[in-house]
Amino acid sequence: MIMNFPVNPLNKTIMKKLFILTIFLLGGRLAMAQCINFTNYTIAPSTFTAEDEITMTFDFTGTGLAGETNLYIWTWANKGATGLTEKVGITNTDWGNSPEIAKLTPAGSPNKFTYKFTGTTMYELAPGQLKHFQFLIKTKTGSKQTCDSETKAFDPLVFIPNVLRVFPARVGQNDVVLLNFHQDLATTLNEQRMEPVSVTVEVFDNTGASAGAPITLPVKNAGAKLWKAFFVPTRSYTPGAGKKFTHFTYKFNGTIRDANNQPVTVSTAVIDVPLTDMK
Amino acid sequence: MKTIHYLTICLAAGLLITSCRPDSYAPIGGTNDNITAISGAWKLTKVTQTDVESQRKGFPYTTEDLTTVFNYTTLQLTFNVSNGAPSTFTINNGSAPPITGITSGSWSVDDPKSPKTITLKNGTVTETMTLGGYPNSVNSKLKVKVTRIDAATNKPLIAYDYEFSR
Repeated sequence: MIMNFPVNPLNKTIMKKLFILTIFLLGGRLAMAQCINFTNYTIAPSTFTAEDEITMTFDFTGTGLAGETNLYIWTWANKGATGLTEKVGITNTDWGNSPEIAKLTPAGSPNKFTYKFTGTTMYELAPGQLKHFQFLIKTKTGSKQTCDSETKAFDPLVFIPNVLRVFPARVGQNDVVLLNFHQDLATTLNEQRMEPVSVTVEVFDNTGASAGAPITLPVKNAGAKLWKAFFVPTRSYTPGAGKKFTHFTYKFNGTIRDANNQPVTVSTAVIDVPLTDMK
Repeated sequence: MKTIHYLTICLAAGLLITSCRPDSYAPIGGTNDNITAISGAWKLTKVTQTDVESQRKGFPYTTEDLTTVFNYTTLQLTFNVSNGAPSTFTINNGSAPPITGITSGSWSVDDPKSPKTITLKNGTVTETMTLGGYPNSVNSKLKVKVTRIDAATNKPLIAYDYEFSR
């Protein structure tokens, strides 16, 4: 049964205004959400503490910020870091009017810029109070902006035990790399229960391309709940002409027994390790 | 007799004092003995990797013995000399990972009398090794260190200590 109520003309006008207002609000939200995806940047050195000056190099060619000559960084630290204070950079004074200290430096070619900063200075926190940071790049008024960057971690100044550890902590493409699995620090059931058998390693070059099929390394037991594997990136793969390896991923694989006592293959989390340019 | 006795004592004391004058000896061996000691064929016997940055920060896990990780003992290094001076070198990696970026070329030292660093050169590529001690009759091993430096910050990150025997 459909009931028809008489429509009051006044109500009709109010509804129309509400509808228009809703459209405007939605449009505003959509406009704000239209950030520009951007990942074409590098940070040197590849690993850094909160006390190291870093140089960020950006290339906006082919992005929505291409052609812009004045761009600014907007940055923040420790977002979501347990036990640490979230803090915005000294560059974040006014979204609609970024200050000169936030301005990127043109790098000589169109759409290419650099920006240098030191974590402790940028976020006005002690080195031990900084875990990671993120940023976005914007026009002065904020009319255009990139999306939030991925989290970039500061190299810790105090030793933090981890389930998966690389030795040495910073390695280059020609170095002997020791991959460690500290099973005693494992927090997931699979990692705690697994009998490690191998390590899967994949190396990537500076174009982001994989250097080849992932390699499988044998695992050695190096003591109570400690497992190791070794490799040299340039011994396992050869970089292409004019290319260099910039990072690799690894995970330990092993077996656990299911409810029927049958072996099941499981793996640890995949860890991404940057390779440092050495001389 | 008493006077003669005192005189004898004084003379003996005088002789003892004057005889204690230090003598100046010329250095044993020629100028290039250390070059000669370094020269020749050497087999790699021990490799240690040190995480210099972690060591500097006081972190645990700073060194690792790599000797048995790869077939390092198959690597052979040869320093040739010409007229007592460093000339050419060759590195036969065997089945070991390379310890330098070049395997042949010329070598030189910073100071022929007491060398502290060895420079290997091939074309435009130059690599430096720090000497850990000269091989001699007591310790016949050749010890060299290769330090890997972060290109962006110039900070030493990793050191490899190589020990060679004849």
